[in-house]
Order: sequence, then C-alpha cells, then structure tokens
Amino acid sequence: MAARSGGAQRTVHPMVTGGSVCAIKYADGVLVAADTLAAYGSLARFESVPRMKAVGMAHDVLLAAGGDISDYQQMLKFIEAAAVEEYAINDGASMSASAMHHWLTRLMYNRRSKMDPLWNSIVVCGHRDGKAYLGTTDLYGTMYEDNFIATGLGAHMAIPLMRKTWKEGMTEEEARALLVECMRVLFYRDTRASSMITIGKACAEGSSVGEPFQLDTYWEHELFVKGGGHRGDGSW
Amino acid sequence: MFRNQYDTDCITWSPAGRIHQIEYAMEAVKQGSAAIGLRSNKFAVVATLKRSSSELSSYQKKIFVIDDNMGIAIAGLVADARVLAKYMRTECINHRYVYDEPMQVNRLVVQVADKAQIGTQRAGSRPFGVGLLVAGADSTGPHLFVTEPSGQYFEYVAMAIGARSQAGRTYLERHFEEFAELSLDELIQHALLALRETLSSGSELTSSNVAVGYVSVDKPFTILEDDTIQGYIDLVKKPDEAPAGDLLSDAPAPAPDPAPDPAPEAMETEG
Repeated sequence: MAARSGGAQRTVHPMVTGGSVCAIKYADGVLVAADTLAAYGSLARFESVPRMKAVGMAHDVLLAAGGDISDYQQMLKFIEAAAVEEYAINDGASMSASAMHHWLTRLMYNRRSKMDPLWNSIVVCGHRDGKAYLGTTDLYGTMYEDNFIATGLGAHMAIPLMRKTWKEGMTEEEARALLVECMRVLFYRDTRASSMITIGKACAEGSSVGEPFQLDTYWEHELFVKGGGHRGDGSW
Repeated sequence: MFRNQYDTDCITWSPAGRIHQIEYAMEAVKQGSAAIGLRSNKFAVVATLKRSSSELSSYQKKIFVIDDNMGIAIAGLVADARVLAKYMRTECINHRYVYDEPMQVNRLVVQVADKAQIGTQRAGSRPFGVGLLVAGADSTGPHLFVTEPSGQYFEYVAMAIGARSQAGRTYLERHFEEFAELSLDELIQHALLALRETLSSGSELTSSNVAVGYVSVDKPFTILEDDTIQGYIDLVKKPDEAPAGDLLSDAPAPAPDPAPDPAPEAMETEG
C-alpha cells in the first residue's frame, strides 16, 4: 500500500473494529443486538460506540454493523446522502429496508470489486406493510435474508443457540431473552466482545435503538475462584 | 419557408420571449394521433388511436411497455418515442438491479423531463417531437403523467394529447369526477369514449386502430389490442352503428337509451 507516498488508500486491514451483531425476527418485527465496544486490534479502545442506527428518510430502517468502525461511519454518510435526496424529492416514497439492503449490497460488491472493500458485516432490519425484513451483507457483497442472523463470531456461537430456540411468532420478551443469551455467550467466549450492549427494534411503530445496558454475568464458578491448576490456590 | 428569423434553433429567444423550435416540437405532438389517459384509485389506463400509412401497411404501435409497473402511450414522432422508451426501460431495469424494486413512476418521469429539457437548451440539438402519457403504479398507487417536448411534466387524473385531443379532453372534463371509484372495465370504456371523440369524421374505432394499456399496483402493465380489445369496442359502439352494449351513460335509464350525452356527437371539421 502506498500510504505514505500519497497514492490511493484503501482498507487492507480493519483498524478499529466492532464485533458480532445478532438479530432475530419476532411477532411484531425485528430485534437486533450488538455490544458497544470498538476495539483497536485486541485493545478495548472505545467502550461506548453505538453500532446500530435508525436510518433512511423515514427512519424506519435499522442498520447494525460489525467490522471496521470508520467504514461503517462512511456507510452511514452514504445513506444519509440518499435520504436527503429522497427528502428533497418529497413524493411520499422512501427506501424500504429491502431496497436499502439491496442497494448496500451493490455498494459492498462494487467496493470489493475495486479491491477496496468496506470492511463490514452489516445487518439490515425493517418493518413495512405488516412485514418484517431482516438481511445481512458481508464485505464481499454476499447477501441473504433469514429469520435470525448473527455476524462475526456470532455466526459460529450464536447461530446454534438461535436454531435451537427461535420459533415463529416469538414475543418481544422471548426474543429479547434469546438475544441477551446470545450476547452473553459471545461475551464469555469472544475476546473482542464487551458486556455493554444495545438492543434495537424495527416494528410497525418504526425503528429505534434502546439505551445501552450491562449484561448479567457470573464469574463465581468454583474453578474460576480456586483456579483450575494443580496448586489449588486460585491461580492458573 | 421560415416564419421568422428567431426560429432556426433552440437557443435563440424571440423578442416576444418565445422559443419557436420548442413550440414547433409541441406541434409535432399535436399532429400525432390521439392518446388518452385516465386513472382511478386502483388503475391507470391509456388508450391510443393507431394510424396506418396506407391500406397495405400495418398500424403504427403507440403503446410501449416500460416495466412491469409502467407503460407509455405516445403522440408525435414515434422514432423519438422509441429513444425515450429505451431510456426509460434502461433506467427501470437498472433500478431493479440496484434496489430489487420497481421504480417510482414520478421519479422516472422527472428524469425523462430533465432529458427532454436538455434538448431545448443546447445548440446542435433539437427537442423531442413527442409527448408521453406515462401510466404506472408504485408504492404510492396508480399514476398518470404527461411529458412534453419542452421538458415540462404534469400529473393528471385524466388527459388527452395528440390530434383533435381537445375533443377527448372535453369528454374527460365532463366525466373525470366519477373516475376515482370506477372498475377497470368502466375506465377502459371511458377511455374509448374519449378516444372516439378524437376521431375524424368518417372513421370509427376498430380493433385494428385502437390499443389500450392498463396497470395497477398488483397487475402488470398490459396491452389490449386486436382480439383482446374487440369486446370493449363493441361495448362503446355508437347506437346507429350496431346493437349497443352496456354503454356508460350519465342518464339514469340504463340499457335502452345509451346516448352518452346530448350534444357531443358534433361533426367536427378536420383540424
């Protein structure tokens, strides 16, 4: 990369990154969870960076992202520009979650084809005309829709939990409990996860992001306290 | 040959504040055979009167499908219309590729109008000699737009363009208030009745010279012509032509006296 010579710059490695995003459809729409940590490598550098936002002209689409935080912020700028354009057209139409997901997928694929990807996994949620929408796209522009989605390490550790627990028409309480459980497992096992999370919602009333809150965690397991080693003095 | 010294191109104003080339282009629209458009709360309908250049030739196509949710009826230069139709199709298909959704009708119409406007402000270029009736349906319901060579565009509930279209507009002005709740069949009959007003004396609506297009939010743009329009033409036959069908009438008496209106059988002189 010609970084210092003033040549073209591109993301070869993500720098400040966010972790997994978990999202599920439930009876009234979609819930999505992500923690608020922006890590600089393995350093827990920024602890309260929101990684989900209500976007679009009608603010009815919920976009959550993992991966490079600055690329995510740039993506938000593109979306805001498109929303401003739609606001100016003023014809009562606004981009649906589905349309935005397809558009962002084109954007991601276009950037990867320039060997300059937006280094993110995104999750797009929405609710319109009585139908919930949930889809994801990665930095190569691979997209799909599903009833539940997890990105990053969540694709390995949250998906099995979702497969086991998810069912059609879950209540909001059940869905929240499932997401919290997924995020807790991720916090326990993913070194780049934090226990401070936000849960966002896309439903008939629109999209919103809840206040960050701390996951309940338990560290008093016997071996954690007295240690698993041969010494039995609490050290490893 | 020249009417005045200010009409040889689009970038010269006349002292009266007019751009004659644009007005000539609008004349080209008026010389094309008529196109009628109207819409209800559910459907947008266009109807056209097709011409054939001779007994031996086919009738010139005047309705073009743009996308599943949109079609146009044209009056004026068909060659120019085909350029615009191709542009509109391309825009629609690109929009579907990017967003996986059909295009908003008004947004495409704005793009077409912008494209038409360019032809009115550049040396070495000329305005499109065609007017479009754009019938489409999108997330905000059915729509009917008209674009002009000048780059202007308007949305209507009912409009007619082309030769003798004033007679068609007169018909539509008398009836448009009832259109909102009408069924597709009733809308098509109104379209044909309005189209009939634009006929020159001695000619009549036939399945060969009429084409109708319709679209709704859940039905793709569909063209009715030849065999598929014959039934509707039978329905609006003038009483003296043949046994009348279920003619639309503002008179309360239904079938037996199907005269749509007292006066307007007027024998117009050719325009």
